[in-house]
Amino acid sequence: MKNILAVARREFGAFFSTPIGFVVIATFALIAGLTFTGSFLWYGLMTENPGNYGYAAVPDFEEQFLSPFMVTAATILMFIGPLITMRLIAEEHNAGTSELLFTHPLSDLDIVFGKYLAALGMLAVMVGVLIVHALIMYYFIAVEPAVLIFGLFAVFLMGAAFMALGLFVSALCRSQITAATLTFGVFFFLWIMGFFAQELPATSPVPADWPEEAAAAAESVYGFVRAFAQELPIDAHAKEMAKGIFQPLDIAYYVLVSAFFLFLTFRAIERRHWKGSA
Amino acid sequence: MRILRTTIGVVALIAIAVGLNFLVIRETLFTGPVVISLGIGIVAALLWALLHVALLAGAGTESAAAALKAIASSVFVLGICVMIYLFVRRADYSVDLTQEGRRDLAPQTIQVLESLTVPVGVTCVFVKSGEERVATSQDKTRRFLEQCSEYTDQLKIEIIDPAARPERIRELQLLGIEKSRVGTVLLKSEGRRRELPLSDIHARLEERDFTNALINVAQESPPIVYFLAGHGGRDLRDTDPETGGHQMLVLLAREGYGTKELLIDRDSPSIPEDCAVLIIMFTGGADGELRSYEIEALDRYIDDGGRVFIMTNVQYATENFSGREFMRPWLKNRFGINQNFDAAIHRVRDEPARVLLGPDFSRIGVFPNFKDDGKDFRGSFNRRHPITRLLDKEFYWNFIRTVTLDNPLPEGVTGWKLLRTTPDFWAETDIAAMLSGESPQTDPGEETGPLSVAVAAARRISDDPDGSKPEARIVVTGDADFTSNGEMIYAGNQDFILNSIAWLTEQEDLIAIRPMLKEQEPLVLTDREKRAVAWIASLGIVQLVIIFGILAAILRRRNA
Repeated sequence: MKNILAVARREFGAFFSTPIGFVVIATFALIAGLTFTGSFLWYGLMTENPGNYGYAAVPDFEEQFLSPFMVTAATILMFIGPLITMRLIAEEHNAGTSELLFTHPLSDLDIVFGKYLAALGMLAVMVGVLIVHALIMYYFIAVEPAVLIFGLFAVFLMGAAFMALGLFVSALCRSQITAATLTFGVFFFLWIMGFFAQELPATSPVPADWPEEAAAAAESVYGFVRAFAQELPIDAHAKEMAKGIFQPLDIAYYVLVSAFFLFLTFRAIERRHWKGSA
Repeated sequence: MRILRTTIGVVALIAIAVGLNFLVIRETLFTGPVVISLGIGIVAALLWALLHVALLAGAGTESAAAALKAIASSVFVLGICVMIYLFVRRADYSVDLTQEGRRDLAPQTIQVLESLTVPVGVTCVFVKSGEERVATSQDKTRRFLEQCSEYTDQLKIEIIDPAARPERIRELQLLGIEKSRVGTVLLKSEGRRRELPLSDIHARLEERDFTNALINVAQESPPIVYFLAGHGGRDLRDTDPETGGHQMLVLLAREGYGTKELLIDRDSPSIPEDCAVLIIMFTGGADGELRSYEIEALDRYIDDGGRVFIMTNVQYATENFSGREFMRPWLKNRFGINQNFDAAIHRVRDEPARVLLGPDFSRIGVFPNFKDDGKDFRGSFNRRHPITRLLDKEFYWNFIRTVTLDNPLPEGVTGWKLLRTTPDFWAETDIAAMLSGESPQTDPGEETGPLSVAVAAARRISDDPDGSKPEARIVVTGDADFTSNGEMIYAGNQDFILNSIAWLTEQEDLIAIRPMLKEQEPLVLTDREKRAVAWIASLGIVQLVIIFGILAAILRRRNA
């Protein structure tokens, strides 16, 4: 544990030993802040004359503003996350310090968990920015504590999954740019899948003139693909949590995604132990 | 072998690309070219992977074995993660931690649920809306019904998407669902039914409305609505759009109410004991006034906790009409309600007596001299009374008299203004001149808008909370023409009538059931507050981070 914390401290400090850490946090604060300001002031404007915006009455604050804002903040991490994770392992390869790191008396466990913890530390700082927004909301409106706390927790969990995935991609790459680009691509794919999944019809679009066996097989495949597509989008579970709904399923999703990609990270960095080549 | 692997890999890529192109062009997955191309591509990709693994294994190096082990273990761990996920998913456990979700059912609701002896079907027709708040509201409604079903086995809950199951919608005879943005909840039991349209105001099912509807459908005999007869006026069997009132009977029957006509006997005036609501409707052609023995029957009925719904047109009840008045003095004495001899007239419109009632004044017009704090009214509708609280549609009434409440009200009476006009109306008192064709003019002393045109009142009869009917209730409107067949096509008119009758037939103890969703107050920020929010959220934090960065750089340089 001591080694893990040592690695985490070193990595976390490394973020701030150059401007990169401050730039990342400032960028996140700016984007999240502008989003918050625009949405919050728009909500206020809308509640003065809800009829002009298609509402019969003042809509509920948590449902109309808070939940969507939390999910949006977590989605902003999709763009910022790669900037954090790209340097975690890829930079070691790029700078030539990977040999030093991996020959140091540290286990792969210490390295991977230490770097992951450092990434979570950066994530916690960004969630801290959102806490300031939450305090602003709390000052003006009696906000439901459950929605607020679960919303922040949803952002953290979603971010943790992003960090684990980004760490894995970083372990595969030798270039930070490649790592960042690939990480963003994977994040974006997981996010955009949600929109396509919603458009998939509930009933199978198998043509009626197909033979019975072929139609049954096709329907089974379609059903599986549809179910998979609806479960996989990375923001779908955060949306439910941000409404104050506690479902073990949502927490399990993010924990399992994080655990799986951390496992893959272990496999990726143990390549250095492989001797010979195919 | 390597050449074969490469060739198969290229074939896989080309086949998948061709399949995706066909998918975009044909816009459907299950067509020959798409299925064949993608099928070939997927099979070729799997074959490529197998050949790749075989080549690795065949190379016989340690790295090959390690790679295979890594792939196998990754697939194994992925399988475990999927299994765990599916296991947790199967448990299907969730808790709504919001204030609304943690809310317990009211004792009255629990009592009604536990005493159910007949099956009640609850069909939730949820319109698939792109709005997140509607989806959330539908989810809350589903959770509420699941909570109710914990207290009884008699509730059979069904949730359907009207777009996916139009045949079921036809079977349920839900005629107005295509116009709804949210949906509706239908309760059915042994031939009786009540429909609870989900309002656009809150978009979720209110516990009080649900419990009231449950009581109505579960009771053995439906509540009977009596229409006072013997005064001429609207024929309830007539289907003419202007003169007939058949649609009102259809509406009430659809909602599980029985209907009868009542001719009060002059010699022994009384109102039947099974009368849940007495409707007095004086429309065109009616003589417009109650008789003394009818007032006598009404007095006894009210003293027994009776419920009355009075709708009258001003042009058929003037000061000069038939000499002696009975109804107006009775309303004033018993409930403090004034049916005034006036008509709500608009200052500039071509149809000055046509009044638009809606939930938002800003959609109806601009009223620069009118400041509404929004506490009691949402546009034309009282936002606190059950009859109008969730009204969300605009509707028209024509030639309305104002109906007001005394201040103070008689002892034991509580009153509410239900509907009001926009501020640009005034109450024209020279009705006779108007009816003879003269243009209405504003005169000194005439009241200006917003004008009260419908009221409700409750009169305490007994202090015994366990008494069968501790209070009498009444609703009085300044118009009766909105009940014609032609006007009943407006959903707003239907909602108002049904809500009024639901409130009039409601058991008193349901009043204690608190609304499920809190009323959201508008967020009003001063200019200074807006600037503070913008500065803190957008610039303040960013500048703080930058300052920390600069300080960190300075400290590093010093230490170096």
